Amino acid sequence: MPSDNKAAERFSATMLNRAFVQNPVLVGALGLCPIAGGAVSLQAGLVLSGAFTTGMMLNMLAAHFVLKKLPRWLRMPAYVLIALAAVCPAGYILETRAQTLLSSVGIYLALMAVSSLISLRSEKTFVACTLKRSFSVAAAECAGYAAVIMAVSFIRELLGSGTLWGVPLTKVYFAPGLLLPFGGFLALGFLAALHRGYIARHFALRGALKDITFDLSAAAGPLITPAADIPERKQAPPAPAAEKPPETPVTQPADETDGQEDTQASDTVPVPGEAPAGEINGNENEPEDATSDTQAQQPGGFAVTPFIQAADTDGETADETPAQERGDAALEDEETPDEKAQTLPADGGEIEAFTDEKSDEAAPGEPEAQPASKDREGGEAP
Amino acid sequence: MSWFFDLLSAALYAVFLQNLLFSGGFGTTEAIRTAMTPRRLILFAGFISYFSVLTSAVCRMLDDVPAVNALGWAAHTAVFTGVLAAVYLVTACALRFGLKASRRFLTTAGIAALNSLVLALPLMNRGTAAGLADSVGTGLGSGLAFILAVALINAGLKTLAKNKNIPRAFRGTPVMFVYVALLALALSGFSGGRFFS
Amino acid sequence: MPEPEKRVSLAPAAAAARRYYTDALIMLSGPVFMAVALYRFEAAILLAVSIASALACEALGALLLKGGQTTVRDLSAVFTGAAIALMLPAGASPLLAAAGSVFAVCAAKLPFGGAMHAPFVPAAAGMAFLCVSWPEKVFTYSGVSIAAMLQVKNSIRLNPLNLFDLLLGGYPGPMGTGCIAVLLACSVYFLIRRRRALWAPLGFLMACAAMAALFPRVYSGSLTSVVMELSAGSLVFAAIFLLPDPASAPSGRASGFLYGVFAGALCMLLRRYGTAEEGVFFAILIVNAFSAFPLPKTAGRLILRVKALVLPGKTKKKEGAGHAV
Repeated sequence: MPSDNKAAERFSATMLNRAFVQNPVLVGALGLCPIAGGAVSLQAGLVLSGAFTTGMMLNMLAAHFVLKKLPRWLRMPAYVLIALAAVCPAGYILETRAQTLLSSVGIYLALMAVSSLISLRSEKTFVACTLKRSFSVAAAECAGYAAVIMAVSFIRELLGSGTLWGVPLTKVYFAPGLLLPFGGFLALGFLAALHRGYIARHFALRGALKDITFDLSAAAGPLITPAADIPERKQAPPAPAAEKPPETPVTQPADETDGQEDTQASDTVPVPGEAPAGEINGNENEPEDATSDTQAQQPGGFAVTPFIQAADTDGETADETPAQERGDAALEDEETPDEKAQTLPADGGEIEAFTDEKSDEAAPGEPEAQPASKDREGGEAP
Repeated sequence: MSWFFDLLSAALYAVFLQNLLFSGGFGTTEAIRTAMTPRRLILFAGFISYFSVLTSAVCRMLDDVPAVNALGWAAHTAVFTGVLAAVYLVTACALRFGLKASRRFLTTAGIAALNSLVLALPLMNRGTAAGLADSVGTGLGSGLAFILAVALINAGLKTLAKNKNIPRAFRGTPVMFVYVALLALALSGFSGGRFFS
Repeated sequence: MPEPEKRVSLAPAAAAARRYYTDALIMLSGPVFMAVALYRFEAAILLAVSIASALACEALGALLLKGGQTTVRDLSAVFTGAAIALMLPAGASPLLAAAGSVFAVCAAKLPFGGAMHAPFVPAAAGMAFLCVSWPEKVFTYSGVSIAAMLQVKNSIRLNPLNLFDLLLGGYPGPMGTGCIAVLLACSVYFLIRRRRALWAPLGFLMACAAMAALFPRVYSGSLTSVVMELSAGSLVFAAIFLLPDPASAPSGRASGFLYGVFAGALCMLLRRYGTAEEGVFFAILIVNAFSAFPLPKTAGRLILRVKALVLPGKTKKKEGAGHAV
């Protein structure tokens, strides 16, 4: 049936986009605590993945059926208590049957109840979307998160303990220091680099990979600047003509909106002279309703310059801080637009993942985005 | 006065000697996101301290109750998480209905309350058999530890933002993770080991 | 007529890095010579393995990450490998040196685009990793080291014989850092070639000496404490070779001096309260993290302003960031 095929395609696209391309950990930097501290062995990783998946699914159902009726400030603790329903049974089972494994995982299993990824996804997607959509997003996020946890667990157990699944391996020179949290972050860094390189080589994205981090072109201001030292408010650098956002409003699929606002509450300013679109960088075209103010004046005479130039996207009242803080915006109670089909092309290499309506035009100096099956000129080495 | 020195030493320990974020990875998601846009850092850190102190104190007092102390891991986790949720709800109600706080303010309070850094403290304090003064001190120190972590990450990211030589595969979150890893390595000189397991 | 071969020259930044590391390697030849003279084959193997590992990682990283654009020619990998080997005991396994070099290059250098852009000193990061992972192997020597004595509050008698042994590396310790006389002689080269780079080590050593004098770990007096603390472990070596790293240390006099003072205070705190016998590597990493703040620069400017008020007309040009390599 055509509708079944379409639904299957949509599910596949969501899985590929959310679980892999826009991985919540490697791109969004969400849910880091259990990975950095608790993922020290494959068994621990499996326990953490299982607790996370169960918590996410329970929250998906609860948010969709019940919690959407509550105000946000009541929903937030509800997510934690519902995730507890996954954590406590897991902990009880380990306490009665595998005490050593519980000691290995430690408090990081309990901290799954307050996972930022579960709360964020519940608030952004599960409350607002259909059940089918919520399920596909939840499944994708769980798959992506579990994959990262297991990968980090594998690396750290092999290189940090010299074992695999608790079985000692002979002639393996291991570094116990990698079992510390810094080892987890290091493993995440190299995994993220591998992921980024793979995406750059095999996926011709029509926009840039949404990234939580900094605008490479802008020299960000200090953390806190005394009022007397503040220069005149700087406007964002104007985008080159080819990269300017279109005049017509940008419409985007629901999941792209979610991904956009999860990892980046507001789009960064375009980067003049930066690498062309299709390379993996953190820069996006600014939506047309974004302001270009880069500094928010706080009461008390200090201006805390945002690290990246956040766009004001939700029309706040005058007495509120104009620019949107990413953490808050990610949990803003916005209606998610109806989902739009996201289809994979037949060759499977191109993903219509992002908002740029100009994506059909090549940025200056860049070959047009092409499916991965064709050779790309100027293809970047990771 | 010994309780004051216990409190102070616990706070300094949580900030410097064993920074909770870098030694245990607690609250790093929030720290990284706040480091990107540190506009509400002081408010956020203040909320973290507030919720940490209250939750740690209440949980520590509950642990003195024999019935609660005898509970297993799962029940203890449920009790401590319930305490955290209750502290947040009471605070949110006071903010919402008493002070007519805005939606954004409540959201900030919620994110600050319901994160791994705040919930980790009572669990750690139980594991180390910390007293009330130590628990309160660690709670106070958690906010300062958060500020220190955010400041270090923000400063580092500013440096990295100016670096055009970062390989393409590492631009963005990869190099940020590596930078945070090296920060954690630097601060492990004091602790030298896993903070809590 | 065949065209003459084109010589591929280094970019200016890479050429500047090569000049700096060439100078550093020339200075390093002294400790290398002493290490090989004292420990012979073991030292040579350790140095060779460490340098080869660093070079291999650098070359592989350049191939994978930069599409062939290499930073091997700036000699930073050679310096990193040699420095790590010299800070290890002579009896250490070559694999230990290799692990340290691999970590230093892969984690602290390549992701940031090379040594001149690394926010943390790679050799310090490599040694910190070794200290955290294998502390028993990094701090195991053929006898009782000065650092071990300080940890248990033992002291030595300050007579000419012991002093002579201290200066010439007669006590057990890392294979390239014990001979203080050679290290100080090598720093004269820096004094001639890169005078500005010595402000940070000067501040560092003064802070360490002050902390040792004010808060001694031994009971035989401040002077003994100062002598023992300065000659223990890799303190002087790290001060001369690691601290003035051009990518992370400020270049100005005042800011460099304050940077060194901060690092010295941290080092002594870590020696006293840290878990590892030697805290200088962690101190350098921490101060690298803090150097991203404008605080040292701000403090340096403050000092210059005070100086301009006190001594008008003698204020020098404003300090910039980064060494002139």
